[in-house]
Amino acid sequence: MSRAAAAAVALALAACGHPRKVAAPGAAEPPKPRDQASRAEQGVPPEGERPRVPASPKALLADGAIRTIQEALAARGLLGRHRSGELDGPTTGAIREFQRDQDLAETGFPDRLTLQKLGIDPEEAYGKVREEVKGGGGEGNGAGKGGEGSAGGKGEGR
Amino acid sequence: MRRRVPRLAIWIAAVALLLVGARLALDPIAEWRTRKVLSEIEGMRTTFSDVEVGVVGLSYTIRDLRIEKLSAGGAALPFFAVERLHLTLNWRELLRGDVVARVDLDAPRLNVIQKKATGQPASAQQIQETPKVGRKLRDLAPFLVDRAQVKDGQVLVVDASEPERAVVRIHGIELTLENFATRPALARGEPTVLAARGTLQRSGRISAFATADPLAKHVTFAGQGRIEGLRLAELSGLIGAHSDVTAEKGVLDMSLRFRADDGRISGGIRPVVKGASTRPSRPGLLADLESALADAALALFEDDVPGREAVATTIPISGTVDDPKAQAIPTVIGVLRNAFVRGLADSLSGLPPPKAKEREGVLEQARRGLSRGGQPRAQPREEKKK
Repeated sequence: MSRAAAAAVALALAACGHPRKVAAPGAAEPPKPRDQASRAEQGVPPEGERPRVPASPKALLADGAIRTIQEALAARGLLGRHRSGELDGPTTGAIREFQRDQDLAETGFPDRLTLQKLGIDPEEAYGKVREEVKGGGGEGNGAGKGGEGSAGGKGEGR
Repeated sequence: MRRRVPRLAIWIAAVALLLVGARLALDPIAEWRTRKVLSEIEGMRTTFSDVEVGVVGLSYTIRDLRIEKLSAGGAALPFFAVERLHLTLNWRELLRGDVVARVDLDAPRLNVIQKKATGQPASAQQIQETPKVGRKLRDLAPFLVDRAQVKDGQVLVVDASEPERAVVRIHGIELTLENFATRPALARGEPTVLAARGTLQRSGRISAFATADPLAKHVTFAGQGRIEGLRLAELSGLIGAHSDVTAEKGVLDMSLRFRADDGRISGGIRPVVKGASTRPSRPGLLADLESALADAALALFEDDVPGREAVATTIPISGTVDDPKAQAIPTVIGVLRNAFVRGLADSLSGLPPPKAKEREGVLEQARRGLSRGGQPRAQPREEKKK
């Protein structure tokens, strides 16, 4: 019985991979570089009636918007269907190709006109900044969302 | 009844003739107005080949527009040119009751000649003159412009402060600027968005993204930029004009992120130089480059951390924009330009020292090291005596 218990503990430890560090109560963990980068992407937080002023395209776009864009590009044969909801190199490349076809500036960024020509409502795609203002979101509001790059957004998997 | 039909036909024919006449007169009238508006740009001469008004799409097009700056000697130097400037009404916004237009610039070329620190050469064409020209071009549109697009643009900056007249060229510019401070943009509650791509010199792929709050009292914006694969040898003219050495090898990558909250600018630059072999010998290179390229109106980089390593290190930037009337987009461009200069200068200052052609004596090395702005040179290895 004790052997079985020891084996169970060993299996559990192996499954964990490595022991987790437990933070002391009240001790603030230093921000991880990825979190810092994510926070920096958020730009200037919303304040009062002012919407967020984002520093990156990812932070401007609503959750799930990138996946919607990818699906629209995939439907036109410009992008494979395996993309993960990140505004990565293949996605911006496909956007540029679409913009070239449509005689638009090839920035690789899904601007309003590009979105309209893709059949996507820009109001929805850029919905995040307005929602934050309505919801009175501060620095914390939306920082996590944007940092996820819409990978787990509610509007995905359409 | 028989008499009424011909009279109606006459009326219809008259109206049709009037419409045809008005349509035929529209282009010459638009051409006359364009010539009048553009002739009001002080110290500039403008020419264009053709003006066309589209009635169906409510558009206005100028072709082969050239704006030349007239110097005191009477010479005309190209300042701005565009193959096609196309203004068109945004129908989608019109359906919502907002009369706004978009402007497309195909193959625009902007030539900037930097002035000397003391005294301005007769041929100087400052970047500050661009808004003056832009305002006049905007006057041509009878409605507010809410979107601007640039395709295949080029900006040429000539440093006339040195005899070498170094040239910095950004070409293949693809740019969009959306949501100006117009009523629809404000109603949507969205920031002004700038997205751009291009090539610096021959090899540097650049990209930039920024957003700004058009309603803020002081400039409020955030963004990021990146340069990839810029061969330093392509900047040898610029570096050589301001120092004793030229960078013969090496590739520069640079990332930048910035934000300005109510006029307070902060951010960081991360330059990475690969495979470079020289470094400038003059300590004043940064100052020289800044005076040659950077926008002195922006008090940036004033709180740098001393003693930082230049290669693969994030250089913090901070500063303030004191002018409450400063506009976000020119300020963003100023930040990008200053960051590039700072990143470049810091990258170069972290490289290995230049190598002496012949082995120098101890006294000569000491003299170099102790002289103002001097730096000892790496010594070649002594050949083994056979």
